[in-house]
Amino acid sequence: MSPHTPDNPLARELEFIEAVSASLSHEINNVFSIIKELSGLVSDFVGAAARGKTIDLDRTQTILQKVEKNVDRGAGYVKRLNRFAHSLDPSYRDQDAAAVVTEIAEICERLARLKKLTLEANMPAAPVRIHTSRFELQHLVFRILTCGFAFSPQGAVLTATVQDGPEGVTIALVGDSPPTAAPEAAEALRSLQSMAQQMGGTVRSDAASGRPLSISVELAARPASH
Amino acid sequence: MDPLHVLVVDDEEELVQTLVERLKLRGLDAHGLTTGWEALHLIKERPFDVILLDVKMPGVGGLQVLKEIKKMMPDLQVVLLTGHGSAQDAREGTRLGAFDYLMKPVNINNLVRILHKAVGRVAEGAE
Repeated sequence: MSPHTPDNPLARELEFIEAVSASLSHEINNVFSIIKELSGLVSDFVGAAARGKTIDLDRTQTILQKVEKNVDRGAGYVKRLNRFAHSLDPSYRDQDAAAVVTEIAEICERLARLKKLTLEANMPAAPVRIHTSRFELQHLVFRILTCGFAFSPQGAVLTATVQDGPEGVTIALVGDSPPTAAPEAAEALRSLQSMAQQMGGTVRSDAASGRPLSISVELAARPASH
Repeated sequence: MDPLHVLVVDDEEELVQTLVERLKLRGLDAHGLTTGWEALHLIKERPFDVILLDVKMPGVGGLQVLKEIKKMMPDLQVVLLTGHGSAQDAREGTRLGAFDYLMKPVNINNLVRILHKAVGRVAEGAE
């Protein structure tokens, strides 16, 4: 990722888009690598058969099933990337906060995995309505999650939730371990606080030692200005 | 000639398994692992000629593993595998002592050639 510049909103937004597209394209490339090697292995078998060796048909069938499975996996990543690209909408409309959190959590799954974290999403069955810019909401959720990653030790399980309340919508990330003090954590929290403030929201974070991590942002369901 | 002893390290298990098998079909003595930690442990226990190492891995990343390898065994050659379009990882890896880097997905024949070249050999059938 490019150097963090919390005081430059455009740079922050570009960093967000860069992180999402880089992460998903990396996964897609990994899948292509696997497919290339699996199909290359079948090609090796055919080459060996041409030199008189017997092809193990069961083995070949298993490999081709793996190719198919990886094509499906890759298609899933492309779908996420495409959905993200088409959803970059700055206009203010009614959004389903639960759907946005689910979308960004899926996208951030690899970023969590690279830090040896497990990210889960526990969403209500019904939509959670909020009137805001989808892009701003996606970006805010991304910052909540990556802030949580920065505070979490390897092996932690993090759960993203969304709740509808009388004061507004609360997006939260809770961990199962006390937070650690990674170098980038304080800056990540500052960036999140700045973002939330610009959206008229309030950040609550519990980074006290000994208690499991908890970061939440409360947003008005319908901000006064929109 | 003694076959080339290669350790393949990448967090994608299917990729590791398949690459190892394809390298074995080409006469290399190949082994595979999916974490940097396991690799650092194994290279102390058995000799390898060259390590094929993915850059982006959970936990201990490839560049960190490369640093540790070079501290422990400066003469052990490492070829990096990267999926990134950016040349930054490649430059950093070269600075840390990697012999070369390859972009995923790799061409198997080119990979075999580079692995042999890393230890001063020429691959059989190489042009």
